[in-house]
Amino acid sequence: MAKVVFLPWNRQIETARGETLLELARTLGLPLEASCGGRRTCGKCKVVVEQSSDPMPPPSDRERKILGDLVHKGYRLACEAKALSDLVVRIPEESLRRRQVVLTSGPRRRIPVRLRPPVLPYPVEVAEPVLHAVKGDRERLADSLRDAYGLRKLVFDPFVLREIPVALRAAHGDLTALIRNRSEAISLRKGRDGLVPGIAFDIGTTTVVAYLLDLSTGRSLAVRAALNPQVSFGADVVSRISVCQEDQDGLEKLRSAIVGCLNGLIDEACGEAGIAPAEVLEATAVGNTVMNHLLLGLDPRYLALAPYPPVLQAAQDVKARDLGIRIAPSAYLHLLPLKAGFVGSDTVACVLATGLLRTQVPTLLIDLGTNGEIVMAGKGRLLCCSTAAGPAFEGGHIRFGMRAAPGAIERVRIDPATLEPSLQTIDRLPAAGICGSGVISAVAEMVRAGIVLRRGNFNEGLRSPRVRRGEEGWEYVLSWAPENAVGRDIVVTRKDVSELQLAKSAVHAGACLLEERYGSPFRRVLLAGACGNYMDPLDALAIGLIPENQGARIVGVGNAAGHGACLALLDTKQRRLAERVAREMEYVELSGLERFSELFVAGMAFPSAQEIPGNTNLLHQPEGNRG
Amino acid sequence: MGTLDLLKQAVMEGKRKEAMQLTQRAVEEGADPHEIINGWLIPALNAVGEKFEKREMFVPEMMISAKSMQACVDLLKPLIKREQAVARGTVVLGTVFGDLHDIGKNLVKMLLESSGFQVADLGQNVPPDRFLEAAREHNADVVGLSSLLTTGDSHVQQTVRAIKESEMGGRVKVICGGAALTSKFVVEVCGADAYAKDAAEGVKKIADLLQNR
Repeated sequence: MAKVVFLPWNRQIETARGETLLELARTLGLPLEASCGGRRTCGKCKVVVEQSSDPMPPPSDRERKILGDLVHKGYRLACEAKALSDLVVRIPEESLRRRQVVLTSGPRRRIPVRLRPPVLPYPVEVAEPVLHAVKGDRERLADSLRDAYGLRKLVFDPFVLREIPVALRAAHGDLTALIRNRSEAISLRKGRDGLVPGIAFDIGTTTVVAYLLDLSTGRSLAVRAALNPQVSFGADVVSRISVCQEDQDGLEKLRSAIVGCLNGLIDEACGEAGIAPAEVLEATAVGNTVMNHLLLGLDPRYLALAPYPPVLQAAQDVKARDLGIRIAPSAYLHLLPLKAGFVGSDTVACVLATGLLRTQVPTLLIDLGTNGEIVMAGKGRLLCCSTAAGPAFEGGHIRFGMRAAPGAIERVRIDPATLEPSLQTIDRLPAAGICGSGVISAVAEMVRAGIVLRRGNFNEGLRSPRVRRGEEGWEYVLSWAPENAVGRDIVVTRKDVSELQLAKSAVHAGACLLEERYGSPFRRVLLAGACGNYMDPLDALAIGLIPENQGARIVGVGNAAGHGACLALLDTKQRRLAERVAREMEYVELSGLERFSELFVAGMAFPSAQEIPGNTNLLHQPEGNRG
Repeated sequence: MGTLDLLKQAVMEGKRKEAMQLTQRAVEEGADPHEIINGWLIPALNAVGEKFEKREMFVPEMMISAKSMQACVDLLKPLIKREQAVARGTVVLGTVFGDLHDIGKNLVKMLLESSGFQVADLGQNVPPDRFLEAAREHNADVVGLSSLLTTGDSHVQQTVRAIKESEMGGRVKVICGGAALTSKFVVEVCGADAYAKDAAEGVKKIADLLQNR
């Protein structure tokens, strides 16, 4: 009899038949990836054998071929490795079959975009070559473009030169040149019609989103999201910087992981839109500073060293091909500018998307993620800071935390009389864990129902089977084992509440500090990011995430960073505005400030039950669509 | 319950305003300020530390309690006669070079100060030499290092070495803590005297280090 324990769930199964690990994982219903359906061809079902009571049989030839060096690190293919003795097997993040739910919608408030795209189509007729005054194809094309549009000194990349002879002849002289910023030819094509596709990337530490747009109309052609494959090197930016320090090839591994991810998204998005990746003529990218560095292959190690200087702040135009990004070979990737080591181009893009550069209403913008970036803006002044909120808002460091994927509890209501909860899960599936907005919702309700008291401690006098003492101290049972997908009681522990307190207090203190520096109270709060979008604003107030200012409106603005990347793709003026944002925004470094520490401790408590805004009593679906 | 029992309870429950009022009342009732601190406030915080270790209390509650206690100590300080105020020892504290995190270190500082230690806080991003200079300057008994980033390991090692290889090495004790560190690394690799997994343990171990001297 062999006993196999699967991590990270700690699920056990016994077998005497020597089944493969994949078969056992399936029996348990674990979401182990196997794209080929177990036919031993895809190599996606990588697992790590962490312990075995007897030595495992050596890896098969197929495993050696697919896994390469990984076999020395205990990796096996679940479809090949058999359970012949007691094993502890970890299913790594990369092998989890999990459709990430990602906020791919634009903001609810549409910001008008003027289309001033970098790449424009220039239909042109090119004369045939004549025998007695031979001119090169490139020269005749350049002459025609000069005569028709006044374009002078056009640059032709070697890759475009290679296209010219065939394109000219196939088009019988009637073709369209796609020209960037009136200075460089990016591509040529026959005829006068057609899309001008471009792609915008929002590269998050956890999730990467790609928006394929038509630059000539601004229309969305496809939106795709994927898990950032760098997750398997560490969940947060600091651990990824460590990889670059400790492993000589670490930077290259991380760089090729993200490039592979972007190429995969390009292929998928183009497939959906029915175009070839080589037809994509421009790209933009935003991300936090570390993501930005890793994409460019810049050593991020000094970002971990105070005062955290980035290698560069300015926007960059690079040939996409130089980074290994497979779109049109002559196309450019534009990386938006960033502010500081912990305020990246994603924050700059959020400011663009929300129009904060021009707002007259003092506004607080909070982008909730592993680092909570906060901007205070109004009347031409922009202040920003980054708070190390930790991964709690993304379900990290939470006992039953998970990312926003199907089955995640995203909203909780608790009847204050009976202390019975009602849960809403993503896609209405049996509960598998709690995502960031679910944690906020659960704790907010626990505070309202009097289960959790001001300091975050549990009310130990309550008589309910759901409020009990567990292994990690007091806990509240959200979902009993028989009702959910994990087979154990899903609980919110005192330690989870503590994690959320530290995270929310950091954001609260950062917001208060920026408001103090700004000098007058904010009248509006914009919550960006997926967690911010799905979070009930009243819950945010109930846990004291946002300082309460009488009458201030709280609005979810969706994936503002991604939206900003799209604006920069469609409108070159937005790129200049982004430079202005990065230049004019005042960065406040919090970690050195005594005042921040004071505010941090002061914000640790929850607002008392009388102070907090009431419960909406609705399990409503927030606006906006998920991709 | 007497005023002082109520005070102890208020500190443990992190009720700052109430604790300050009770401190005021205790002084008016004739309690000795020195005795209020040593007999009631410090034990209150020790009790919080014990609950913390038993997972009955967590970091936020401990911070709130420490803050309440500090407010009371601030009220009492001006009332304490100089000769009574014998410090239990002098501790130099800082976050290592390259690291700007100071929440954990500040918690240690609050706990140490309110337990009667003299603390020289060097802040964050402190280079190895600065630790050594401060240890000399304050004639420190203990140097405490905090390191939150995994990238800080080499700085911890350099700092510990700088102190241990100096003329101070024989008498000053070095203790390290913070999310990035492990006992094995700190004591065996770097050669520090102690490792603390959290603020409460840090204060306890600092007291132990001084006792065993």
